[in-house]
Amino acid sequence: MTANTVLELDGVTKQFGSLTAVDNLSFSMRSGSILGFLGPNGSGKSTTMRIIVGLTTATKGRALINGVPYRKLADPIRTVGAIVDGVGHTPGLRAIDELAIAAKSVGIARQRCEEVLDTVGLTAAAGRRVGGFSLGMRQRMGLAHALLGDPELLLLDEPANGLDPQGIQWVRELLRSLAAEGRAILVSSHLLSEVAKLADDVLVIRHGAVIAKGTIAELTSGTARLTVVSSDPARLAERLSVNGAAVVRADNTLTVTGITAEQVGQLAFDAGIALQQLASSQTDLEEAFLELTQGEGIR
Amino acid sequence: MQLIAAEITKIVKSRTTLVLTLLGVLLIGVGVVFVVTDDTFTGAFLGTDPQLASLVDQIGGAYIIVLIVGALSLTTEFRHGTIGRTFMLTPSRTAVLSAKLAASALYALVFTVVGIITVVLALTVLGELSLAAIGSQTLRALVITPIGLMLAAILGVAVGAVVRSQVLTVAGTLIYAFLVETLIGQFFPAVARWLPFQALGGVFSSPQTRAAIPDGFAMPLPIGTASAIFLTYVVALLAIAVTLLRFRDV
Repeated sequence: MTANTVLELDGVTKQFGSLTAVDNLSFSMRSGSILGFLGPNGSGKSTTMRIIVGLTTATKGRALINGVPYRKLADPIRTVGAIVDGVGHTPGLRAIDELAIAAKSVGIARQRCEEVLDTVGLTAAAGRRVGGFSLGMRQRMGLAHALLGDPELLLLDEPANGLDPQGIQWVRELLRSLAAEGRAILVSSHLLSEVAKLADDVLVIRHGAVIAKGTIAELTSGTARLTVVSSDPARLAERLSVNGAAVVRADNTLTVTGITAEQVGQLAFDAGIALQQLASSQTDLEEAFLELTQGEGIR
Repeated sequence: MQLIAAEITKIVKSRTTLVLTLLGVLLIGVGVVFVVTDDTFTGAFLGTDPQLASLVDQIGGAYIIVLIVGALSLTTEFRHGTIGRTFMLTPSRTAVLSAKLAASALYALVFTVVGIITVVLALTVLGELSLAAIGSQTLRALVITPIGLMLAAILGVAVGAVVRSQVLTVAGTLIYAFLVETLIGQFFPAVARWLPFQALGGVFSSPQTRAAIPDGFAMPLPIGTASAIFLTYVVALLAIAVTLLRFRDV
């Protein structure tokens, strides 16, 4: 664990009977970073977040925040703020009262409740009962709760869920500003384009296990699609296939994946094949995600 | 103390608490009117010390209200999913449970005061208010009632922690208290008086109330035994509640 590591998961496993929801999951986060947490439905993202905040007990492994488990944090709400799947609101309470009760339980002043309501754009709705809130407003309330303790680590499970395009943009800018203040943010989202715009790194899990991690550029570069037009497409296709590329031929044009443009150029040169066109079309995060998860769907 | 204050606020801010408290006031008021106006069981109401004690017993008779308020302090959180946030704010689940127990017990005390006010108001309306006859039996009832109600509230919190489901907790408690134990009382009266709510009835039964129990119905356990038995149920269920709350995922 390095000096600025805020969150560290080490071999975290969670089994529900015979089902392994999280499988030997290990990763860490440093201060000021935003980590996109992706995976298909039921891949174990929410369970992982619940394990981190102590709502679910790991069968094996450990999740540490600043070197200690959540339950042993001296001041948990000022260390971690979270939007976790399954954590709801009291419909009969006014927004300000729901926050004030939470604040009162941990000795935070009511003034801070007003501040976070303002931060999430709910000042005008402070006196309204949460039960009458739209999905987007409830998401903003969840964010208000997460920010209540001004924490250094934010765990956000689908924070943009239910928000309109302006709201999604607002969340993106808010999270960027929070990260710029030095906070670490672990964010899961089914809006992969948003994750691509927001996250520094991405962690993709499937069946509870890590299948890819790295920067978005690293994740997408491995799946770049190349368009190759040559003087001898049949022979070039054979050369490329032998060297591990996936090749689809249509007349003189080859569509190639699994190999870099530099490698294609070198192989063509070695074989004495003239290239008339070599173009790389970068796949986006969604395509990379679908390929990694074998089209299992997006959560 | 912050945590207890937050739990008290949750109870106070709940509209269900207000509705249940008003229902409790109604139950106590009806009980007082029955004791004062009906001569069948307790004889003509003369405002004697034993009769005043039996009026205080009416407050204890509304134990189901404080028990349900106690249970709702947890089941409402499970129902709305707010228990997760509560445990994120305070990871010590034992501390959260303790705060809920304290807040629910305090509600039981407040309910006792509301009950006493209801009794006094009902007697005033009926033109029977005379506090001159208050004696040892009434004073004993005034001491026993809040203690019994606090234990009922604690039992409610424990039931809520074990069952979690709001519907199951409320419906199950009502069915068990008023149907199952009553039926067992009908067929096995000697056994029934050892059951939780029959024992609690024994805690709240003054001599006047016991004297009014018709033939064929189980006589409650003596107050000391009844208190010990009910306390045993409370402690046992609380131990299960603490264990489940600490180790079960939420």
